[in-house]
Amino acid sequence: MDKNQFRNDTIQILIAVVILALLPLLFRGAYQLRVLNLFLLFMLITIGFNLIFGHTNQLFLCQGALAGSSMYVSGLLALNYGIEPWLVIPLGTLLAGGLAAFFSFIAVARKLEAIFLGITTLSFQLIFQNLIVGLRDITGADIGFIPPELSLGPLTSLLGRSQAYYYLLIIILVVTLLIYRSVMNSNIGLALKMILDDEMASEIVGVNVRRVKITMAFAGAMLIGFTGALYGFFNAYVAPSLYEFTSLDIIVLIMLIFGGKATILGPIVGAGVFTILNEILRPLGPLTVLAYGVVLMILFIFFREGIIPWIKNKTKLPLI
Amino acid sequence: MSYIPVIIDGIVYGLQLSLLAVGITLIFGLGEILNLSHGEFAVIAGVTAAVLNGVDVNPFISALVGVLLAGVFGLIIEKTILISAYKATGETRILSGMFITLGLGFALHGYMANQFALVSYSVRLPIDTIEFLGMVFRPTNLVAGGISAITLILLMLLLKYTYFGKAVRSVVQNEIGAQLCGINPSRIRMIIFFIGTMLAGLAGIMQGLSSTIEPEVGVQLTIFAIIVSIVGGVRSVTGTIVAGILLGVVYSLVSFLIGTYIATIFFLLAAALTIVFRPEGLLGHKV
Repeated sequence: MDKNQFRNDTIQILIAVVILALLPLLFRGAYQLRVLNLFLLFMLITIGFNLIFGHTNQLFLCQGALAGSSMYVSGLLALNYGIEPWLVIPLGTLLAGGLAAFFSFIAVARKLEAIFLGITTLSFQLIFQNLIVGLRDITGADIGFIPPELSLGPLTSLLGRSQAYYYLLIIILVVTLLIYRSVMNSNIGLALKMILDDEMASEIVGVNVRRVKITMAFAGAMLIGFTGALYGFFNAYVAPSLYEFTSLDIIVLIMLIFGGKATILGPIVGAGVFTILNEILRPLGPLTVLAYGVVLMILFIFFREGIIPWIKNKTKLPLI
Repeated sequence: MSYIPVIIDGIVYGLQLSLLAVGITLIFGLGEILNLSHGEFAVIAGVTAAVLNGVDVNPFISALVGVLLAGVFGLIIEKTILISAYKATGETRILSGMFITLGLGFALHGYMANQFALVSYSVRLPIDTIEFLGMVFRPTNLVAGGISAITLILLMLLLKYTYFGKAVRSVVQNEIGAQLCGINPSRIRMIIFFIGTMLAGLAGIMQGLSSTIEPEVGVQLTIFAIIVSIVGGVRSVTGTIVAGILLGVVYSLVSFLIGTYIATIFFLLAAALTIVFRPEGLLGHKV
């Protein structure tokens, strides 16, 4: 393990987290706090997606369905059987992780190319959307349902609901990033870098590519599932529109590509830029889709590498 | 007996999906670009033809203008925004092609859905319904099915018996080998993109002819067409046509008997299962 690299990583993560933790002091309005929460929620989902697509090149196009199935399972269990939400969120999280591990297993077992894994997972996303609308009696279809309030303990009375959620998400982010950093500086991190460079060569020198890929899909999807459930509880109203391909998957994909695949800071910067852009575009209504389409095209035509790798190349700063 | 009209509807719908899907199959086979905006070309042509038809332009001329517009637009796309994808190789090319066309699809969808919101368009032919063996048929439906079938047969003949068809198949099989024989792959790709988007346009117009076409339907058309293309084998034109008709009939029957959402789920499952268990498609590798 490279000590300098480890220290460098820790410093950059600390700087990022401190900046994020100070934001609610600058933006105190109810709407601003809501946007800040969305910012962190999407950032966490993007980090999860980065673990899957960024680090192991497995194209998953079902982030919305993973986040949504976790929320629908935990929210509906909590609502209909009166179970404490904190007890059922882990169930939803495990479900998301398990589903992703299953897709990843199929992909490595059948040696699917990225594009075919993409279509399989996209099919799953659309099956999910159809099921939510079709199983009207259970899910409430387009009308959705109101999940029970998630208790945040003393945080709520101390800071108010929105800020309580924000700092809870900050804690989750810190834990995630610290684990992330440790993993990237371990043998698994080396294996991940090798897989990105050349899968076959890493297999030859003894990396168990299959196991690394499935594990990363499981871990990334657990993060997506957990965050997805918090998203639903935070929103206090769960409808299919939260987890649709156009309202979640595409935005997360754009955030990751813009920020930079396989970087730690990429998802943070990407989520920041596009959360703001999303709020600017919101009044456009149906034209938002047009704007996102254009952004996606421009990103893939001119800016495939992402902003963090681009700054790194230009300035020679050791960004992570 | 009441199943027969449903099956006929299914065949007509399946033929429209085949028209869309052969374009996807050919474009992917030649340039490894999975065109995720394909359904939007159908919408462009369908809506154009319907709008022209609505102001009393002859249905045939409206359809022609619609199809040509889709084709020319496709040509412009191929020669501008897809160049950066063609420059890349391997997985990067596949992924950027996929995401650029996905972005294009969203842009067109957003524009069409905003410009022509919540309206159903249709192309009308001046003929009445006919009765045959006690059952009522919509002749426009049969006309749409007939035109689609003839177009698909012509396409297969074109690919099988002409020099151009041989050139297309040779590039699909081995691009470098084709180049060595003096075939220019990028020219072939351009012509196929033109033909593919025109076929998509024709599919949109046929949908406007047999029922209605809504500007919002592009995404669904794209997804269904990709599924048909995958079930048929992403490099096989014959397989794509067979898969289109088969899935169209099953979709109609399941929608009729159970419900649309189950039919949609069935469609999506068909794609996922094909990818997992029979990645080469129904008929295997054939062009």
